[in-house]
Amino acid sequence: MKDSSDKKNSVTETVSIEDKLFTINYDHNHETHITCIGDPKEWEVLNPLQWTCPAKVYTKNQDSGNLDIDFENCIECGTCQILCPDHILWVYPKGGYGIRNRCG
Amino acid sequence: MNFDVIIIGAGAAGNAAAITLAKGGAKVLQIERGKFPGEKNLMGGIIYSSSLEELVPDFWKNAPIERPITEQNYWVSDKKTVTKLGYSDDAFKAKTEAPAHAYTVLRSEFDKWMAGEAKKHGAMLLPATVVLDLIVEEGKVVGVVTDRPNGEIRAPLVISGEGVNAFVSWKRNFGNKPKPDEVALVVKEVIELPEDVIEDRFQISANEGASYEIFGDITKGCLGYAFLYTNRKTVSIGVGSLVADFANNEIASYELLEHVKNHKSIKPFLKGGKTIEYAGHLIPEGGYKKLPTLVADGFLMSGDAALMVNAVHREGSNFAFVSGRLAGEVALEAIKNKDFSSNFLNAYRKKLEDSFILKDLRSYEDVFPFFRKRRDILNDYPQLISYAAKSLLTVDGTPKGKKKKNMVKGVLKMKSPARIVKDLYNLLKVLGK
Repeated sequence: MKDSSDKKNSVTETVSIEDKLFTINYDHNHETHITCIGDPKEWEVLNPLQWTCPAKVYTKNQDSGNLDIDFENCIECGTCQILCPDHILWVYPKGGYGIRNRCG
Repeated sequence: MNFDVIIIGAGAAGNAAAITLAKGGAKVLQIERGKFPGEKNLMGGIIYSSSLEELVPDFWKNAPIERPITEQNYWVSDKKTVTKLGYSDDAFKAKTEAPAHAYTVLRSEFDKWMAGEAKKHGAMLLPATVVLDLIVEEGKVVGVVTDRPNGEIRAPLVISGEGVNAFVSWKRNFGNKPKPDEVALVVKEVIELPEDVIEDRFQISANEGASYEIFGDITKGCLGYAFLYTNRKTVSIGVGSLVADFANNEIASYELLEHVKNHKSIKPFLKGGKTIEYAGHLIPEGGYKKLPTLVADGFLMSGDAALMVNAVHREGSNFAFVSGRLAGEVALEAIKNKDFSSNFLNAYRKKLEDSFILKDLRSYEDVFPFFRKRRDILNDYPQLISYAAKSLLTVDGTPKGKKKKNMVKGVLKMKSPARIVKDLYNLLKVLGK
């Protein structure tokens, strides 16, 4: 089992993803738009989400062993549903909510 | 209210279709999931004037464009070295009463402006609304279902400008969700710097701009490249690769972006800059072989939703502008003839075939599969180029004749002549189509 901290390729990280996400404007309605439709413990499949999602939405809960989904970080790219189409149901947030790019 | 056409999305393709249709007098409804057009959208990003002038002839006088791209640079990076090639041309500059060849834009402002152009000609915009499905009756698309209360809206024709995540089209089997090796993830930061600092560092004047695309070791074995573009008071820096490569190589895109930002040849450009926005987006790279339906009864697809991207040449916005315009033109004819059958709408496919869009997509159909299969080319050849440059450029008392011989010997040791010839042949074969 690998989580994002023990993957084999670590490149220099001077600005953390948390700091990057801090630059983004969100307008949340606090309703999740992401659902795990597969087994949330099926780490063979879910594992890559932890480092492939560019907003670090997905992490393994070390206590329960389940997938934690921090949907309010989502930058709405759709990578997760491309990578795990049978496990992640990702839809657009309700109209008008979610990210609001100032630059784009 | 009755509409002739519903357009899903107010991005590059949707706005192009909306401008074309509204100018032609059609009753257009454009549905956008953002509160304002542009706030969900992202690209590198560069627009090409020729494709936008066809829609808004004087766009460069009013559009929120950043900088003309007058100098294009291509770098090949190895672990510790960089080989640089650049092309600067005054012909790319703006002239009296003529725009520059290409401009950087920031999509949030740009798309808002472009949707405003459609509105000016009478298109109606319904923002903050997600289209959830198409209404299909007797095999014909006759409207959309939105996430508004009583959210059905009907029209005899629907144009999809949904973008890369074309959920509505996929739901009705007009195209399929791409596989992880058919779509690229790009992450980007917009970094603020004073205008004069940008001009000094990039050695450009107020009416010039530069683009850098960096290949090789910089992507840590992922198939893709990094980019750096000058805007007016910001620069855009990003990196992209196939979703499959980030997943399989266990590389986080945001960490790779830090690696790019800290690269010795890039860092000096960014020094002291402040990141004002981080963002990520997908690019459909399935190409010609994976093209969706494009045309059905009462339905047309354009832009990223229709995989209209030539990733090798960083072209996407021009494909979206032109495909959106062509969809709009065919839709106007369909409205005039009151015929929304796929048979009639097939004129759209014909127009795409006659334009650069399907010609380019067809001629590049083997390029991506080739690189996907031969990732080694993108690793080995940068090393080879670096070795050759180093051998030739190091002055150490060795006579030049011997140096050249040593260089050839060294290169051939890294790759056999037969291998090089074969690779070159295969590369030229897929590129020369």
